[in-house]
Amino acid sequence: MIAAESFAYKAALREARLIRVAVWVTLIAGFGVTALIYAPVIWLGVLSISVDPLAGLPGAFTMRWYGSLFTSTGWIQPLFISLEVAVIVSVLCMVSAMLVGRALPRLKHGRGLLLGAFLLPLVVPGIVVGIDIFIYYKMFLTFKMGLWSLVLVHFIWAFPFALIGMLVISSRFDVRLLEAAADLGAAPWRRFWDIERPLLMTGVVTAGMFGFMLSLTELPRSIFVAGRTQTLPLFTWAETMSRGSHISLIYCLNTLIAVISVALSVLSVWLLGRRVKS
Amino acid sequence: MNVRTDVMLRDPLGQADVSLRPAGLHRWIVARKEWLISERGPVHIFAIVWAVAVLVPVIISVFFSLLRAHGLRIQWNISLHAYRDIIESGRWEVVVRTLTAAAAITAICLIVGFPFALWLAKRAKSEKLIQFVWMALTVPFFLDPSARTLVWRGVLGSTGLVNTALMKLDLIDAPMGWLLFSDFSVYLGLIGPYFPNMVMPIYLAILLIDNDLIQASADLGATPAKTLRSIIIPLAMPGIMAGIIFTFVPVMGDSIVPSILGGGKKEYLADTVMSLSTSMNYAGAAAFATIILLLTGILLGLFLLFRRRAVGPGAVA
Repeated sequence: MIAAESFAYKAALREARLIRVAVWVTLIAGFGVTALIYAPVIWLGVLSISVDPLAGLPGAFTMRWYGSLFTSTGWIQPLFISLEVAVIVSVLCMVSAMLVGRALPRLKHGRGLLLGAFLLPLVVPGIVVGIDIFIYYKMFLTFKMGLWSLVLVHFIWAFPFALIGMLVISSRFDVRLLEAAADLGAAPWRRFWDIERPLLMTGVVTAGMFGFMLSLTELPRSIFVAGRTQTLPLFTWAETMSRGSHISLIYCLNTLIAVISVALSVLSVWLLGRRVKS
Repeated sequence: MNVRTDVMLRDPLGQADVSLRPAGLHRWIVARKEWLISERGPVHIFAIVWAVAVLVPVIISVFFSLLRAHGLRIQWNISLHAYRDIIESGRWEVVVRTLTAAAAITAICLIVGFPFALWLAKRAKSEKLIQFVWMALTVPFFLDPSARTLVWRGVLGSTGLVNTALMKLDLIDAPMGWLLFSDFSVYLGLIGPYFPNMVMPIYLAILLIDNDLIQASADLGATPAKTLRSIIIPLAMPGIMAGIIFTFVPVMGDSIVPSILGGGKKEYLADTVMSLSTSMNYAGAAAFATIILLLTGILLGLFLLFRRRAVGPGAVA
């Protein structure tokens, strides 16, 4: 009897040890792969301030390359175009995510179908969206590509994310509040403006931030539909592919873009998380 | 206060009393107006715009791949020329190579990602740590793809970090050439950015599994391995399938990483689409886009089929 118990005890001990090892392997692998995302970004920052970014190990550091951003100004025009597109996409995302997101959880018919249609761009590779939009609008309808087509493909990319951000908030919205307001005599517009708008505001802001950032950094779709318009990611990509001597400049620009997008995305996810918890 | 206002106050949309509703054309206009300011109206309008502006171009492009075009001029006769071209020019190899890469990367992400998601959902104790990991997995969606990829050249190149460091340590004599502009560098560049796509849906699916179920399984004498096999994995299956799709599909369609880290030696699907479109062979590009879309459709179909079988007909949420 005692022998059997000690056997079971040993087995349990072995099992616990096995699980502990498994957890450690999991964590090392998981964080290791996550590091594959962030290590390059950090290394990018290191290279952007090293004197010779093409040398394997960075020796001396300098801020010279950041200084040269002021003299070589090819990136400024693309930056402003990127900002213009991003602001338009952001506003479009806010409005459409508000209109669709508030109503979708309350629809009686076709909710799944509509949600599927709106989230479809999540599972269509960017390159397919890019070439398809180009073929339809440029070749069949012979429209001139430009700012509007960039806005369109960025919106297609960003809207599913904006909608999800909105749905996180709006699916928790209590419809009885609106019924109560209606009982008290509030007109539809009043109900929307005084009750829904303030409660759904976090979702709208999140949708706007998602739209802004996804547009600001969008590249695979833009390549096809940009026409002669150049956004900042298109500019850095063209410089990258031309293997020019501007590599330090590109490292600096890329570092700045990465820092800004990390900061903005941390802010918006934090905002959304805080609201969901409260 | 007359009777009508009183009723209007209690029943603002006039649903209760049919006699209060207006008739004829006026009634139609009122109904439209209600539809427009109701929550349904804007959604329906948006859905129509979305279908016309976004879904129609995709369908048209599939049709376009069956046409021939000279530059931007379309010739209106249907042929399978673009598809025959893919086979005759040997470009089908690109399809095979891309699918192999996508499958391998998806497998790696799944093997690493599933235990990681399980840990994050059920074992991680610290709320702060969970938030940190969640944040770390969200940020990659907002990184410029060329910005996060280009720097790998500085790490893997023949004068890059890895080679220089290994040579300084006298571990190798000459730089290892296969590190950059190879399948290896493309894989390395793709695994990180698409890892969150795998972890997030699995995490959400496991989070929904009731802890009591897992506890009950253990109480009834199941080993952790048995619980994992018969409770956790079946219940997390929709998340696992979603993770596979969200990883496989964008990896298959990624054009930036292969063009920066592949060095043009090994072509991938998206590379081919880009080079075909640069040489203005739009029908060929559309044919490849259609192939990508078809493969995506097959995966989605499998997913839906699987989900229906797992949940049972009629129970699809």
